[in-house]
Amino acid sequence: MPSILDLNEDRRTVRWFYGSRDDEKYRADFDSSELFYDPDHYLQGAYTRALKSAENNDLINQVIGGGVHLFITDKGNTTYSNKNDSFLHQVCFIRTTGKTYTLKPLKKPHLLEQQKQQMTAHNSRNFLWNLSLWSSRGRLPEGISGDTLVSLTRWPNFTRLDIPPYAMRIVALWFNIPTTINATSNKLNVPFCAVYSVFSACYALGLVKQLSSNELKQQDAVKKVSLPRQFFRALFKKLS
Amino acid sequence: MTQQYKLIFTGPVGAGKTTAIAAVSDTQVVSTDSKATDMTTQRKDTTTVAMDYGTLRLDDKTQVHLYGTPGQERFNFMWDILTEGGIGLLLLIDNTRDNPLGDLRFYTKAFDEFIKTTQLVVGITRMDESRRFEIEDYTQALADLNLHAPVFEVDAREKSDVSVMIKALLCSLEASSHNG
Repeated sequence: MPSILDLNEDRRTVRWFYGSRDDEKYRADFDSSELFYDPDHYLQGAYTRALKSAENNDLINQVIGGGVHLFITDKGNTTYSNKNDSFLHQVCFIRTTGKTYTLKPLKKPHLLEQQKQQMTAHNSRNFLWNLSLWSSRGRLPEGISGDTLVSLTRWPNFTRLDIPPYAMRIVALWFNIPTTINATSNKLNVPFCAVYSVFSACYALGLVKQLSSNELKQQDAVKKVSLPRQFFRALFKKLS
Repeated sequence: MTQQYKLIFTGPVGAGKTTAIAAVSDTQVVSTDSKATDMTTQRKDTTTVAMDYGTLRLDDKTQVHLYGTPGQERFNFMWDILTEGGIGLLLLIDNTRDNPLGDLRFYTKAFDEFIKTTQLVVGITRMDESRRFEIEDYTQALADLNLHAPVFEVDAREKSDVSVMIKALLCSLEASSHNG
């Protein structure tokens, strides 16, 4: 059934955020190792560790390696990058060894003042969100199954994040009705790669609550206002 | 026949309701404001005394009416009138006020019957001026009230921020249609 908010999302944008794995690959074998990745083996993992350290210790932390140099400052709120999104997008997908990236505090803060003029500043949460999407590219973190029942503790702060295609609809579903990862694709008629990637990004931001089927409470089906599909499409498109 | 829909913006004085409607409205906002004479003067020179009104035109036959409630409690008799037939509530909370979590509790209680059958989205304004409370604090306050709603940091002047709030409201209504 066509989704009521199917806006024929731009294919290039979908590929940019989610990769190009077709749904057939997912349906063929949900347990395939191709559909999983370990964030610790990618730039995402190194950045996450450096970010936590910067937040907890109130210091300027650095991530250096693979041509990338990141400074995390302002109690972890701001990240400066020497590379643009195109470069980072490529690097994020490269599986690394434990020695590819070096994490170290910046002992001379004045050096950042000199260098940041040539760097790009990012909101750190948005930076992590994007790194997670670009590292995932349609994969789930290892240890998470497609049968995982997902709920979200809160919405990502979408006014301060890049919003990839389908993300708001996926998040709205998980926030309101706990749903397994694999069932989400069918329920919303969105690609598996989008569902897997959005999960990975929400997981990286610490927003995911995994539930067991025992914890799934029967929700009171309060009747909410019902609106025509055409209206949803038109208003969503108007605001995009 | 023209299809008409209604979205309600509410929140305390100075939270940004009038500004938010102006940010997305296709038409110039009709604002029934008056010179502030009471404690409101501490926050702004004017205040909405009846309502703000703007529109979003989707096509020749479909229009969304944007209503902003007056922020002062003495005008709360208008709130029920304005929510009649509405599809959702966009609650703006000013993070610099003395008790913004108290504001959240007050307005969600005032509109609780409306929220039950529609959808609530919360936008926290002026977080650039004060980080005393974070998004997580508002989410927890809603959970304590047994409410479940998206919460975003919002600059009411930014069309993109207000648009995210409205889109989240739509997506939430879509999601609730999958329940049961």
